[in-house]
Parts: sequence; C-alpha cells; structure tokens
Amino acid sequence: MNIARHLILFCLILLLSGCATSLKKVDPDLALAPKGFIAPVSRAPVTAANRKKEADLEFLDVYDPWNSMNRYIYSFNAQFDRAIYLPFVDVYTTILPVPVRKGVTNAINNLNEVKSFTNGILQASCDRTFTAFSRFLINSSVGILGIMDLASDWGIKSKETGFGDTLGVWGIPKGPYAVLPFLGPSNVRDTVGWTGDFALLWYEMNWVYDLAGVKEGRTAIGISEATIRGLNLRANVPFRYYQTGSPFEYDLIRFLYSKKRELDMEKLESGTEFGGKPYMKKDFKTPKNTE
Amino acid sequence: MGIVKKNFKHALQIFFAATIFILLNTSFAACATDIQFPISDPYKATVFGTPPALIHQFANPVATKECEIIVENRKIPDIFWYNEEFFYTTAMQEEEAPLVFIIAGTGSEHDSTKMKFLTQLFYEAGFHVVALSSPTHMNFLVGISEYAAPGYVPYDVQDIYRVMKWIKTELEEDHQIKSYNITGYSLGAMHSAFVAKLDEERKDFCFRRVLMINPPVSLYTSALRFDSWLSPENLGNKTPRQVIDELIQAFSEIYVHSSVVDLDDNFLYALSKHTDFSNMDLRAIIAASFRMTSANMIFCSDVCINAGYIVPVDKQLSTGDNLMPYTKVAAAITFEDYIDEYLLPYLQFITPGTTKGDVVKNCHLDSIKDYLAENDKILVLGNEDDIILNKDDVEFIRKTFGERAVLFPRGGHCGNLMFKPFALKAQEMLKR
Repeated sequence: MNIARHLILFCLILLLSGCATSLKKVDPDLALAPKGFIAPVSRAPVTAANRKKEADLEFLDVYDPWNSMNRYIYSFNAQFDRAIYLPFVDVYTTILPVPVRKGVTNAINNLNEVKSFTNGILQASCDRTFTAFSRFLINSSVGILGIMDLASDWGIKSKETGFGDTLGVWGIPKGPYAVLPFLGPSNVRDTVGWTGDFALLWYEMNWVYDLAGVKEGRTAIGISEATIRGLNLRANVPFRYYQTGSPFEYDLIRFLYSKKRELDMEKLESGTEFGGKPYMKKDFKTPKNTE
Repeated sequence: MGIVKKNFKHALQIFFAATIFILLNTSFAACATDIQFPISDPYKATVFGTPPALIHQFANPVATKECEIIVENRKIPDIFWYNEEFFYTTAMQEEEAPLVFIIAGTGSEHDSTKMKFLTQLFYEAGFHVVALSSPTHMNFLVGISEYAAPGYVPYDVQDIYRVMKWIKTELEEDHQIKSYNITGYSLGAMHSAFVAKLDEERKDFCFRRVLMINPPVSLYTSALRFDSWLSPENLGNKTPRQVIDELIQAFSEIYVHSSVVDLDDNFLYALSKHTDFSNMDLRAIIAASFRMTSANMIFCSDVCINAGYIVPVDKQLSTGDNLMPYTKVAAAITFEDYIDEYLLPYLQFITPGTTKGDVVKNCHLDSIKDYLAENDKILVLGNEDDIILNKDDVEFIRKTFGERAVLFPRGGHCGNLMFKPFALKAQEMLKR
C-alpha cells in the first residue's frame, strides 16, 4: 500500500515537472513600457455621443447584480483550474486508461439516476421517472453495478435531471447569475438545486454503504469518491478557461450558460427530447417547420 | 499447340491490359467527381466547413505538446494575467525531419480546430510541426508582441520572426532538423510570405518551402469587404442585431428540439442542413464574427498601450470591472476606423511620416510581388470562390504564381481546409 502510494506520488511529481517547459526571455523592447501614445479620437463609453455609437449587443445582457464579485470568482476559478485542477486531471487521465475511465463515468452516471428518478417524480414526468428507473435497474444488474451502460446500447438514453430543473418546472424564478467557487457558472435557482442534489447524494451514498456493509471509514471513502467524481467530471468537460481568445469571455460564458439553462427548461416543459442523434439525419426539421 | 498457347497468352495479356486501362479510367473519372467539394455556396462553405464524412482522418494522431514562452519584466495589465505566458504547440518526429511552422488565421490560436488539424496533417506528412497563434490573437498580442497593435503586417511579421527564432534555438538542442518550412492559412498565409521575405535578408531559416493556404491579397480590402456586409445597403431592411437574433433563434430551435448537447462539428453540419438557416444572411454572420474578433483585438491593444481609445487613459481596469460597455463600443468600430483613428496615428507616432497609403501597400502581396513571382519555393493553395478575394485578386494570384498556385473551384474561405483532397494536396505541396 505504502509503495503504491509513493509510486503515485512519484508519477505525479514527474508529470508535473515534465509539463513545465517554459522558455524565459528578456528583451527590453518587449517590456510593453508606456510609450506615451494617445489616440487622437476616443471612443470610450464616457460621453453620451460615444454611447450613441455603441453596437447593439443587448442580447448578451443577463441579470447579474453581483457581477464584480462574480468576475473575481471566475478569475479565481480559472487560476485554480490551471494551477491545480487540470494538472491533477492530467495525472488522473494518464494513470487510468480510457476504458477504465469510461467505466467510472458510467458508474457515476448510474448513481445519478437516483437523482433523475427522484426529480422525475417531483416534476410529475412519467417519461423521465420511468427512464431513470429502467436505466438504473438494467445498469445496476446486467451492467455490473453501473460500470457498463447497457441501457444506452439498448436505446434507453439518459435524461438526467436535477433539483435545479425541478425548481424551474415549479415556476421558481432563476434569480441573479452567480459564479460559484470551484463549480463555475450558475444562478440562484441552480445553486439551490445543486445543494438539493448534493443532499440527496449524501443519503444515497450512505444507503449504498449500508447495503455494502461498510461501517467504518465512511468519511475516507466519501472523500475518495468525491475526488474521483470531481476529477472525472473535469476530464469529461473540454472547456478550458480563456480559450475563446476573447477578453470578454466572462460575458460570453454568462450569456451561453443562461441561454442554455433557459432552453433546457423549455425542453423540459415542451417534453420534446427525443433519443438518437437527430443531427446525423439529413435535412432534419424542427416541428415548427413540419406541418 | 504452342502457337495456340502463345496466342492465348497474348490475348490474356491484352485482356488484362484492357481491364486495367478501363479500371484506371473509371477510377480517374471517380476521382474527378470525388474532388468536387459538396457545398457550392462559398458563404455556406466558409461558415459550416467540411461535412464530417469528407474530413481527412488521421490513422495515428500524435500527442502534441503545449509549450510556453515568458517574456520577463513585461508589464502585462492585471486583467490579462492569463496571458503572461505565450503558448504554442509542437509535434516533433522521433528522427531527423524537416520542420514546418504553421501560422494561424485572424484571431485564431495555436490549438484552434483548424490549427489542430493542420498540425496533425503535416506531422502525418513527416514534418516536425510548430503551431503559432496569429499576432491578432490576444495571447500573442498581450504576451509577446513588441508594439501590441496588430494589423500592420511588417510589425506583425517581425514579432513572428523573433518568436520563431527563439523556438528554433530551443528545438535544435534536442531535435535533428533537416530544413525549415513555413505555412499558414488566411492572414497566416500572408504572414508566411512576408516572413519568408524577411528571412531573405536575415537568413536565419533559409526556408525550403513556403505554402500559403487561402491567403488574402490585400488585408485592407478583405477587411473592408467584411465591414461592407454589415452596412445598411447590404443588410436590406435588417439591422445587424436582427441578424444575430435570428441566428440565436435558429440555434435555440435546434437545441430545444433535439437531443444535441454538444456543439461539435456534427452540430455545425446539422445547422447547415437546417431549414431556418439556409435563408439566413450568412455574409452578415461571417462579418459579425470578424467584427467580434476585431473588437477583441482593439480592446486588448488599447488596454496594453493605454492609448485611451476604448478605455479612458486614467482608468486602471481590475478583474472585477464590468467590461460590457467597452465591448459595446469596440464592436461598433469598423476596420477602416481602426486604421484611421488608432493604428495609423500609432504608426506615425513610432515612425513619423507614415501615410495611410504605406499601411495599405505594406499589407498587400503586391508589395513583395517580384519576390513571390521569382521564387519557386513559394506555393499557393486556395479556392477560386474564396469570399475574401475578388476577381482581380484571383487574377493576381494566378499571374504572380502561375503553376505554383493550385486553386480548387469550391470551398469558400478555408471551408474545405479539412476536405480530404484539399488536405492531401497541402501535404503533397509542402513535401514537394
């Protein structure tokens, strides 16, 4: 056990040092020293005349009264992501080969079916409740504790839903936009929803430990499980901070998150999710266009 | 008996020869039809790119390496802390090989989708690969550029050249490099030509091959073209805002009424097939996307040199500041305004006496026309229907490069970059 631990630590250090190949250069011409140039015309949005010339980008506006704090947290998350999160994710993806990670993802998704099932009931959606129920049943048994996602192979695709969705279905407004430390973009409703999801997971895992007869060391197991969840989650998200190449990334992400959640709710309410990959079909049309 | 046998053998030979001939002929015919890119509308091709099934696939994609350069003592504005390192990608062969630098197009970074593709493509062709962001990308601008005001090709090229030299020295320590080559797409193609020209004086690389993929002929006229697509005359009775709203609406429709959750290439392909999309003003969308890129660039530049163009001189931006008001003013600036109100005055500040004519001329392939015409090592790969070129531009390319210019009939601007026949052609031309 001790040897294994040392080995992992060794690999980790090796990997971390291997990644850092930064070339350092000194060139006084490149110091970006103030040159004293002032543009003859100013477009700064400080005069009424300049404001009149603004591009119409109001579609990007999102209710964000805490935007100053949110921007700091966004920046903090980006630093955390670069310095700690991603390097650990790199180690995780290096140590575990793709098939193993696939199994981990499947097992986690399977545990999440309990959440979808519960919320399916709360949303009074037979479709989502039944999907979650059958997926959980199939994957937990034939899929060997959820390691294999046989339900998807059999055409029962996941319809994950959580407390955030439920609150939305109940007509609770989404509230201001909020960037959460470590977790990223959210809004007040989704934040409350995530707390609910977390509480449910807590009970669920205790139930699993009861079933498995784990009496001692639940905290340690719980922490390991949460760590793996975190690493696995990040490994499956291709997003990288500041990869948009835009200094206005915060605003773009805020818009995309809000729009996506708005559309998710529309999707839930209209019940128009259908399986398969419709985008592979040729000339697929939206219901609006088909008579 | 012997004669019969001989005759039979002869007949058999003829038969085989005939079969092979027919087979060859049909396969040639098949090639000729295969070679046609399926999207005939150049604007559609530009926006949606190559349909997934026709993209060149890599049998053994290489694991690339992200490297970084830090310029010490550089005064990087606080809000741009994440650009303290200048990033680039390398993909090195095990053995001795020629090396190719790839320069990204306007606003693109070293590991954008197109750049990733080109990196794999030229690695597959046997090259060591170094992929660089465009000088118009914020990481380049903030992290390593000398004047931090992109768009003036001679200065941008000096920046690229300096970085390339550093990387060359670094890589030569651990790798065997047979020769140096350079390529780039879009604005990066124009940069490659000017870098090669600069190298004729400085002789650090002595390039073996220069491949320009979808180059503009004049940066100025191409940029003005984009801007004109957002003018009231071209938009008809719509405002740019309405065009964007329609775009968002179409996106939303598709998202809500399908199980699509990932915005990958297939999704883009689905969009191109979507009825709501075919009637949309694609030119306006292309122009709006260019405008966003240029807004990013203008804002970054102004913050770096504190020129008071977008952000008041006495305003020190911090991480918590709302940037939206600046986004809005920056997004309203045309390329022409950028030159007249910012770039040209700045260039005049650095070199008094610079005229607008100089700026336009120095960002035009015509200024190095003789060099391009005389050097067999410089090749062009592009499309006849490239939307950033007008008839005269296409004529200029044909005249200047002659046989060294290969133009596909369709593909728009970089729309067929990943299209198999186009990609294979790029490999062949760089290896040639």
